[in-house]
Amino acid sequence: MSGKQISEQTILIAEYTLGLLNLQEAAQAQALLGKDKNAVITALQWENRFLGLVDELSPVEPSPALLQRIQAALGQEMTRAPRQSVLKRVGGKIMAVTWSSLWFWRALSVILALGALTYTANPKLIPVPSGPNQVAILQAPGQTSTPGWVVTVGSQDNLIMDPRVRIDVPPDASVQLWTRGGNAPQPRSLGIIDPGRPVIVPATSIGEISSDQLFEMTLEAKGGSPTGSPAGPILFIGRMVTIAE
Amino acid sequence: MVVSPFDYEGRLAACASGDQKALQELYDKEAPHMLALCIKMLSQRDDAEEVVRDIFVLVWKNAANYDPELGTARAWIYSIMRYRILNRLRQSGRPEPAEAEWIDTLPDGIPVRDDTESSRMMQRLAHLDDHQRRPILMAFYNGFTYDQIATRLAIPVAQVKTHVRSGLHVLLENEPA
Repeated sequence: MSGKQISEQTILIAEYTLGLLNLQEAAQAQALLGKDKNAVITALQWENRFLGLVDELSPVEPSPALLQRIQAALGQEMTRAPRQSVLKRVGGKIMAVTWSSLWFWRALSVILALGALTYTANPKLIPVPSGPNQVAILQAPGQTSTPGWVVTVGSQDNLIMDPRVRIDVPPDASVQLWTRGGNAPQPRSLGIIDPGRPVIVPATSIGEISSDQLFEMTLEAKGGSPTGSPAGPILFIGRMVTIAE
Repeated sequence: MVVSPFDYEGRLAACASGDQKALQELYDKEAPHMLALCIKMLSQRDDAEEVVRDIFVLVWKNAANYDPELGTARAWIYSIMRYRILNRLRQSGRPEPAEAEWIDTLPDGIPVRDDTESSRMMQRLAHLDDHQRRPILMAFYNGFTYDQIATRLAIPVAQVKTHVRSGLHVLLENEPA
């Protein structure tokens, strides 16, 4: 212990900077910041101290149009073409898409329809055990002719995932598996996977599988997305479909 | 070395004088970091990009109000951004998935990459007791209040406050004069 004098005000401002306070306490801190220049200096010192936590997050490439949207909002001339995405790292075989892109969802419905057709036309593609006859064909966005992964539900309701293509993952990256079912607003991580080997996801992890459950694999920073949501480009994506009752 | 020679203060001054190239340089340098934090806190990429857009607009319009005597330009930018994010979280509520996944998304350890003050601060954070460090990270990365942290950790609010405040004291006490 250094015996350094630390005032209650300094701690209050730290709590305010972190967003810990309730409305009443925050109002107290705001009043302080509004009348005391030293309080503002203290607040920015705390903000500065915590910048290292920002740098611990893997940077996320903004959408190519974001800068243009900023420039448009400011009435500035749009100065350049979209930035190059990280997709070059995997040979340009995948496309960067987001869960919320309208054009992506439209394209996906076509992909999924083709995927289902591919499966029903080739029933020996995978051994489907007795039980719920559900399958998902995960494909690289934009590559409708090649199933990337075949996903089936096993006899114990485990999810069996079988890779059909091989991809090279950069040493500083991981492939993360996500799912989203029913009305869930956000995908949920099922963990990091080895993209070269079959994967079995226990029923206890996957939970109840909805009729249109969505699965995707994204390329993330080593160890998984730092955001808790898919942040990297989608490698494979597909929706569960029921092929027979 | 992570130490960047990037001159945030100079870029802000240039923005204040209408230099559009300075704004673009600031964007190139910082937007990916800002977006990462926004996504972390908001859980929604669209919302996050909207916040980043708003912040760059605000930075451009208010660059002349930045006073280097108050603090670093980068801290100033993030103070604006975090304030906006926290307001958004408080007003709109939080999507369920973020509540369910927060605990999986906190860093287990904080590596020390270099000898900058920022890095030394991370080292001090890493050396806090877990019960001190965790709520601080939950506040910073998830925007949780004391009440929300207490609920998620299933401990009394007063106990969370004690842990956080003792952690903040340790961070300052171990800071070089």
